[in-house]
Amino acid sequence: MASLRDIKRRIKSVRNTSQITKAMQMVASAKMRRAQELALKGRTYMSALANVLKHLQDTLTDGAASPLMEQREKGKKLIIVVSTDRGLCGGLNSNLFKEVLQKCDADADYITVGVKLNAQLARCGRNLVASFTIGDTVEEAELKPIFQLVRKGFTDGTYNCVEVIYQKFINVMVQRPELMKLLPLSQEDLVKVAAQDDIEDEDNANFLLEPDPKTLLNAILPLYFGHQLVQMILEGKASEQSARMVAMKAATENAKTLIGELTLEYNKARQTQITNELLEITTAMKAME
Amino acid sequence: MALHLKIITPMRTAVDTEVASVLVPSVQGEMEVLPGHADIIAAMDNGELTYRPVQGTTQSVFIGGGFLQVDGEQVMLVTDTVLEAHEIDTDSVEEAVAKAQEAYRNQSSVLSREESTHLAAGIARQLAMLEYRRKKHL
Repeated sequence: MASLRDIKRRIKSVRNTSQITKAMQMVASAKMRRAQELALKGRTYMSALANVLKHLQDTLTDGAASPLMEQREKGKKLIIVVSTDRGLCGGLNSNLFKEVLQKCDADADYITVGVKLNAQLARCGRNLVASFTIGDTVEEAELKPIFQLVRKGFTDGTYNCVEVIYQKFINVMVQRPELMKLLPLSQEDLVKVAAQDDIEDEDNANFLLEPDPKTLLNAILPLYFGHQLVQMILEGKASEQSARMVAMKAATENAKTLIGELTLEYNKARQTQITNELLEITTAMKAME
Repeated sequence: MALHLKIITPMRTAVDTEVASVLVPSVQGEMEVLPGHADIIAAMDNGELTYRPVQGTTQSVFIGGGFLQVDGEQVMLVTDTVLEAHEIDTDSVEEAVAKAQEAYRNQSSVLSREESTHLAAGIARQLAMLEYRRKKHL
């Protein structure tokens, strides 16, 4: 049996760890509330934009299209992986990575948002082109280089398809990895996004367009594409914080159980020691008689 | 018959109410939407949006560009920025405008075309914001 002092030391270290995990849990839950709010609010905006864009598409009959909608055979695929910058968030990143291995082609180019999956992607021989770190608030300035890279790659024909894989925020306990096509924009995807929200919608293709279809399309498409990426990153952030909160809560509880068990062991050891001492004394007394 | 007006931004749904009419700043000039308006999708300019709720007095907000969609009785406006007059802080906006104009003048040779367009659009938006604020308080 471990000595009294050893057990005491272990209790102390477990207690320290539990204090840290507890603090992290609180930080994560505060951040989560904000991230969650941003992600949920953003969804309404996305659906509204998708709704307008879909109607615009329906109304356009002469096939006027923007370079962002061009369907091409040639070119590579670009995949943006939205992971996290820090660990300690349960199985979030490993689940996402499993999904990447299953659903994404090995010969595609990869961009990561958040550095956690870089090493794993490299180990599997995926071609990592760039990696970005985005702060909790998801500022426009931080996202600019990503937009430029993606847009340039797509318009100059290097890539024929851009996909994003991220953890969709369902609720605090559940986050689901999801693969979404970002470019080229297609009608089916718009319908899917537009249907997310409760905006009433009938098929209607008789809109007047002002000032003219081309200007409208050129203004609204980049906006839509940009916001979609922002939205996915926000979802990723919300998922990260909630996963971390849940993981840290579990860790704190585990630590508590562990402390309980160790304390029991400690008391047992102490009791044994006392009994032993008593035995020694009585044996000595008997021997003296 | 009433229209249902929704103003949606990335941060919130700013307005969601029954209105009798809406006056919007489209890129081709002001446009009033009344019940029975033809279905339309229109690009918006920076400026003042005025709406008359079914009950109550006329309200107005500042919008920073965006798109308007009229689909039957549903009027939906999707925009980046919605501000009420009291939310605009004149001093800080003026300061931002001065800074941006300075940057625009001094570095126009260094900036890419995209960047300078972006900057110019930002200045135009802030000037429109000030204009709106002035109009409301004088």
